[in-house]
Amino acid sequence: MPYIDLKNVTYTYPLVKEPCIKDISVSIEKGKFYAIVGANGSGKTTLCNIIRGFIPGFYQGEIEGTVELEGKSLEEYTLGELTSKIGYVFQNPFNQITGARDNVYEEIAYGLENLGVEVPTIRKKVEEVMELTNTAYLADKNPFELSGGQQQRVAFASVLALEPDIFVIDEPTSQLDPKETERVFDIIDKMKKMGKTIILVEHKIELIAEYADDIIALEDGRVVKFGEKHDVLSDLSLIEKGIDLPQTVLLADELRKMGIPAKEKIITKQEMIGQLKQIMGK
Amino acid sequence: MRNSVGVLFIILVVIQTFFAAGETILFSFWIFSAKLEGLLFALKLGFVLANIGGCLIWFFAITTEKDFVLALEKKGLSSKASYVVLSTLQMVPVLKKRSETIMNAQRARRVETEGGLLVRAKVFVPTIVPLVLSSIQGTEERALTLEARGFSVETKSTHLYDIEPKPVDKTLNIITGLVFILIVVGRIVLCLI
Amino acid sequence: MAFIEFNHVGFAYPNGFSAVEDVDFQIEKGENIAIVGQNGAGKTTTVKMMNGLLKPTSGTVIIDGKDTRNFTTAALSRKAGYVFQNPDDQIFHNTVRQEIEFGPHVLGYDKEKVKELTEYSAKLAGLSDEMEENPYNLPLSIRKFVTIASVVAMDTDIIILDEPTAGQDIRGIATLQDMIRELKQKGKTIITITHDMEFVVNNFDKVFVMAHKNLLKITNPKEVFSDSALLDESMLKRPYISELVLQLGLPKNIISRKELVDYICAPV
Repeated sequence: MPYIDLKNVTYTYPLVKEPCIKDISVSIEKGKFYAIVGANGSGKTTLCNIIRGFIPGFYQGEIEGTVELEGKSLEEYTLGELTSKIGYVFQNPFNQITGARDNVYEEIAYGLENLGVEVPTIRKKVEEVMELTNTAYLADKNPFELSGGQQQRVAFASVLALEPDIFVIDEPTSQLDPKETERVFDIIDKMKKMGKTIILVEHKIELIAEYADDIIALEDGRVVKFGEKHDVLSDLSLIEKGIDLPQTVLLADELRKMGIPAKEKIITKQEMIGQLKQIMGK
Repeated sequence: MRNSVGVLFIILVVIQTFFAAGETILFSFWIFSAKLEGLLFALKLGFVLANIGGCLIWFFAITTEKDFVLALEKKGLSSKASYVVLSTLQMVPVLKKRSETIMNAQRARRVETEGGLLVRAKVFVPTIVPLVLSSIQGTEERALTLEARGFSVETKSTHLYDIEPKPVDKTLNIITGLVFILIVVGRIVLCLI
Repeated sequence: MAFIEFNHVGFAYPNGFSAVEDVDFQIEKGENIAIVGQNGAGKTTTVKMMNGLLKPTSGTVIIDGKDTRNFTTAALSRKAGYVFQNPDDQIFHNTVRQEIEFGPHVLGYDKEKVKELTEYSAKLAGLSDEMEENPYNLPLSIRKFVTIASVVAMDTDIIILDEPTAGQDIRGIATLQDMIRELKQKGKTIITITHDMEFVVNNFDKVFVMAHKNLLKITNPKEVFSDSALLDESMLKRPYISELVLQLGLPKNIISRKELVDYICAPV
């Protein structure tokens, strides 16, 4: 039984004529890292909202089809259960600071307080996630006074503290500089090693090529390709659908056009370096 | 804030002394005459106002919003209401900074922000609208964030940062209560005599 | 005299914090410049002194012969348009059309000219089909184009872009690239702050590398990305191809895919 199962899901936002998500069926396995790619407007964020249960819970509109987590429809879970099971991080770091607390330590603890966890356990968990996200040095600061990258790490920490098994992450690095982006992907990699199921929306395709397992490619509300990253990301036809492909794939294609027999399905840096060394006879 | 009570006091005294009806004239200059009745009335009312105002100011000066809201929450205030109060207070400096950024962005589009009152009035809409619109949009995302932190979960919250009433607090409460009763009873008795 | 002149410019906030120490350069009319560097290097502060949002606390900034200290920002906005990083800090109209029209209208152009500039900028930004939409009904990445179009419509000589590629997909970046090329042909001076190194390699001839509140070097992308010492000091990210090249020990002046392919295919 798949961990998360979407079957024939079609969703239309309220007051809009055309559905945003059209007949999507996707099975998510536990412990794997999925990346959702697609042009802006192809439905990536909406799909995230559906997986997380915000649609139809928070956003109205019409939804068809079924969304199941561990065999049970999302609607049958209580809010509290969903909060503990699925974590959500999104693009704007500022809007993920609740404003309920005036220092980072308590901000991270806020979710645990709401769930009624005892104070000693709260302390333990908060300190663990601060270690993981490298935010311990920010503990006394007011979350609103942090930089975007720092706020994003605090957001990750706040969600990690609730120990969900599944993480839905929507463009976490779009507003961040390269160094902060690296730190965020570092955290995501740690989460992957912890066995979390990760669903990530990103444009930075090179990083996806390095870290993800499987790719869900969207175009205009439909899944146009779904599979292991080597299969999906080496499909050149995705470029016309507005999806960026890794430099490695484009490079291999250009080499092949020049008559050099570069292998198909090379997508990570290491794979490309290995291949180039072979080609150049080193 | 602290000065406003004093200013009100002075205004009250001046108006009552010079403009209220009365017979005993203390002194006069030009067309104004100071009357004793007015002065006494003003002083009495003024001191009451200063007393109440002063107490409130003193209370809020020594109590942090955090403690205040937490205490209310322990007495039964819903955690949602306490969130509204705390987050609003936190947002004020953030919004102020944001409105400065917006004003800069509009200045760069030839919306004059430096100048007299009329100029500043014209820049009101280009500054307020982005602030309000993006705050509303931000609110939607923040609501999702709160959901993700178990905001609507029905369980009783635990408190990492906590305040507990100390024995001396209880004693003070009892003493204050007794003094209050004494004053009320005493006033009634004085009226009856 | 150059179009934009920074003469030993420094900027410190009233509380004493220095954001820029000593920056000195000239930019000729029609140049196309990328400013790169870590956060905190002084990029945004420097650029804000170009349209008068900030006035230098030491040194002078001369824009087209005018000392910025003698003019208000709004007055200087006729010369330099600044697209802020967050479009939600600028948009305040109900339709895309009204938002774009605002700039040229305030500058005092007549109705015909305003219409012409609005349609032209909208076309460049790929917004011609969205003119009657409320900007807040559009995704953030399209809203970014709305603010870019509203500044382009002001027809200023200088256009300053702050992180235009953030959050854009490949179509958005292609639109940006076409736009910059077109504006460059019209003789505009374009200054872009960016972290996207691939974007720099593909679109700019001149790069200002900033670090530690100073300008480290002014040179072309090839020079920047083949200089390891410079990259280390400014803590810049390398373009992907440069990283491959470095690990393979190939000549460091290969910075684009085409150059790498040419190198590999070159007869020995």
